[in-house]
Amino acid sequence: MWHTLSIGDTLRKLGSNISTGLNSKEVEKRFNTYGKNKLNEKKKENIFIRFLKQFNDFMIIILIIASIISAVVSNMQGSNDYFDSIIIIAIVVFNAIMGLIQESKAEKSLEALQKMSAPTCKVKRNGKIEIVKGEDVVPGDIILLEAGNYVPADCRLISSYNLKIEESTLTGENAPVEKTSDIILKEKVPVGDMLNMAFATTVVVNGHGEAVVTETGMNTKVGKIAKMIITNESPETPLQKKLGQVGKSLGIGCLIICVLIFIIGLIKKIEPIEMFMTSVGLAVAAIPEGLPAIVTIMLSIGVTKMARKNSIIRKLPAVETLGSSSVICSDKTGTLTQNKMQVTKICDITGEKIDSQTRNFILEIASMCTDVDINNKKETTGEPTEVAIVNAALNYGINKNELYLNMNRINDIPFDSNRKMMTTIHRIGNKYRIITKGAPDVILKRCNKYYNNGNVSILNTSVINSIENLNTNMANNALRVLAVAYLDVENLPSKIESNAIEQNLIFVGLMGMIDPPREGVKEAVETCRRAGIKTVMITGDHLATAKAIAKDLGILRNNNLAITGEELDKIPQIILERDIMKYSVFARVSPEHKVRIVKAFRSTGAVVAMTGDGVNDAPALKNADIGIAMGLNGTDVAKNAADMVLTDDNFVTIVEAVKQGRNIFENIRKAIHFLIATNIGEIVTIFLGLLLGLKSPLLAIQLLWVNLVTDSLPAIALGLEPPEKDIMNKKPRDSRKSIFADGLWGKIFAEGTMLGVLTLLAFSIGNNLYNIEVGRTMAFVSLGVLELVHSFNIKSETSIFKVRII
Amino acid sequence: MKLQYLRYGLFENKYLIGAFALGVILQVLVVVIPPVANIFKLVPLNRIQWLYTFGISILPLIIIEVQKKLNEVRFGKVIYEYKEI
Repeated sequence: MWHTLSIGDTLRKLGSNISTGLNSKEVEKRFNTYGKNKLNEKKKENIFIRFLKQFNDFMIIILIIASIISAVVSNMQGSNDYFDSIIIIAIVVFNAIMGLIQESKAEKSLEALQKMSAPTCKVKRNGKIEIVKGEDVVPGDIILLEAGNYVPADCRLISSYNLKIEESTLTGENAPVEKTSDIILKEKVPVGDMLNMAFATTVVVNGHGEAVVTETGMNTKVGKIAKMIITNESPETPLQKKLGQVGKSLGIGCLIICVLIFIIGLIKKIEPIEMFMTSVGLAVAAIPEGLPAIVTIMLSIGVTKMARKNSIIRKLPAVETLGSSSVICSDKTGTLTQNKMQVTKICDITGEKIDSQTRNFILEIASMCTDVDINNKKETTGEPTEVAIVNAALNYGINKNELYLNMNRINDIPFDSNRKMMTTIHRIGNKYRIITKGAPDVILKRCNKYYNNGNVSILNTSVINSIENLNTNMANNALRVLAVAYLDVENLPSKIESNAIEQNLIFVGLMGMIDPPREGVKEAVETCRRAGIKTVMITGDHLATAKAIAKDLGILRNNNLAITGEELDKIPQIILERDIMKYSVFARVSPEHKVRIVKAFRSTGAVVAMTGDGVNDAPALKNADIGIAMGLNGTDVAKNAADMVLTDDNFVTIVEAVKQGRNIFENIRKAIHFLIATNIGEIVTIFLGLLLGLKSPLLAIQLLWVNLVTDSLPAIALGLEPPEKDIMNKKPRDSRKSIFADGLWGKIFAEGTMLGVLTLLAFSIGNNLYNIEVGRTMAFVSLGVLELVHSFNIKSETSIFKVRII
Repeated sequence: MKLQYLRYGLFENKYLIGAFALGVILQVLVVVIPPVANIFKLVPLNRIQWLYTFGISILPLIIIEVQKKLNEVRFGKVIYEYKEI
């Protein structure tokens, strides 16, 4: 609302004085009211408490009880064999440590934001200019802004001289905003258009000015975003939830069986202590102790693999979620495109087909009329549009530095956004050449002649129309168009100003430039389509540009719609949720829009990946199922809010990561399938064995060995299965379906029973033909090898005896 | 004509082969090395007993492979098609 007030009103409202600033008493009073100009930190939990929290798991508690019972029994039997107890406890502690390490990747976002705040600042207090720490600024303070400063807090500009501020930390726009103190704006204006305000964490790149502080700390625009980060919790992944439930169920099932066993034992008049030990053994057998650790190991291996392919996973659960992505919302500039302006069309008044002489002439005069710097390595620096022109010229061997040697640049009229053009004046021998470039419509107005194949003729309506048509055509193809004109004169007027110089020029030609798509993006979008994934483009660009590029990349197809942020504001969230799947392109969107878009897609049950690089993207990144930050051009805040960081900022990397995610999920599924099936096999062995006979077919410690050692290796190996051929030709996994969907439980029980029966068979042969020790030994070896063999069954959905003949 | 049996199917995942080999070796070692066998309350086995053991252990592979083949015959091979989104 400060942007709607005049300077006088703002000062009055803040109780401040433009010439003296606040006095010390006032400053102290406000400091007590508003506190430091800082962003609040989240309190970190004590590490000991976090360690203890790991034990708050049903499976773990059962194991601890089993361990205690085992120790007690051993003690009562007078044996010093506490081996069982020790191993069980060791497993439990190991699991806890793994959990702790996982959670220890602490939230550093706020720390990074803190670093961006202005260290010191010039303030007018008590009629004098003082230098204070950024965090000591209070509302009402008169601050001085100079080029190179960070703006310490939100403030209303009081005076501005060529003041330009780069607000990418807030708006994501790299182009500096020209500020002016002299205007009053309407209430509903996007942050990027608040020209009479300056905001905390932004940078002054040009000019200077004075401002009165309006908001500090958590009340600044940046602070409000930080608030959104703190309150938006990241959702728990489906897999974690499910495994927790499974653990509980298995634990309860195991307890029931133990009770049954106990009753059976009593009926069969077996010693209670022995029954206890068997129960312990059963608990050990039933609970897949290695499961959480193995899943974590597999996720970690997956993470390493993906890092090699340019995706840094910041949060482990993202690996699993990635595989079920059904919507990818990607930024355009820099992710889908190369973020380099490139000249793609050069036209004269007749159109695109021009000879090399005309083309060279256009490039010559255009590149001379720029402020681009070329160093000896032929590297160009400067404003992107001008760099594009100079690079295009360099491609044809036209170097403006060389041209300047013969055609000295002696003066210029710089670019300004009102005139929309720029002029340079060069001396050629005794004459002067005036070159002007700028927006086509304004250049045309300053021309009365045109250039065609070395001849100069007077402009007429038909030529003007033809030029305007060319311009429109290029704009519709999402090109940014520049026109260039020149004039050779004998003498220069005394005053070098626009009205005197930029007149009666000779129109030469047009240049169209575009930010080209990155290599492989079109193919990646197609891969997504075949994989049942919807690609959505999100950009701050014009709608027309966005639509054109989206069509070219295959993102905007047939019936898909494109919409701007402004239009989005008119649609209530409920309607948006209903229609969201129709949209493929969102242009001119703000951070709040991004969050709405993510929420709308998620409401349809889609699993949403969203890219971002700026501070303002953090809430959207956190709300998405997979937040993806840019590694090269992203801010620290975005990277810390994200689940995944692209080291090459490339869209193609995202698609590859999805493929890896799908593979990893499949492999985790196989590993879980294996581990639980084998555990059920062990339960069946013991249970049936006790029903049919008197003694347990296997001892607790033997079961522990098979469960931990024999089973772990194949489980991890299953985790390293390579991706199946058709992995990206299937629809994304339904994230609402549990990992056990599609009849997995049925298979697990059937296979478990099979394994149990076979082990019992081995035991019976050994026990009945020889003795119980032989029986148990044969059962032990059988169980182990049976399970090892079975891992090959699980490895592939289809027969493993595949042979390719080529 | 080349037979690419090493790249598809059984031998595709070298880690699994390794895990299998290692697992079998470990199972056997535990039984065969007396002090270790003592801890686990296991006894040495004679040749026939070993034969019974490994004979039974192969069965899952045969059973499941047969089942997979039967499924293929009944339901056919699955081909995925994609829809316009």
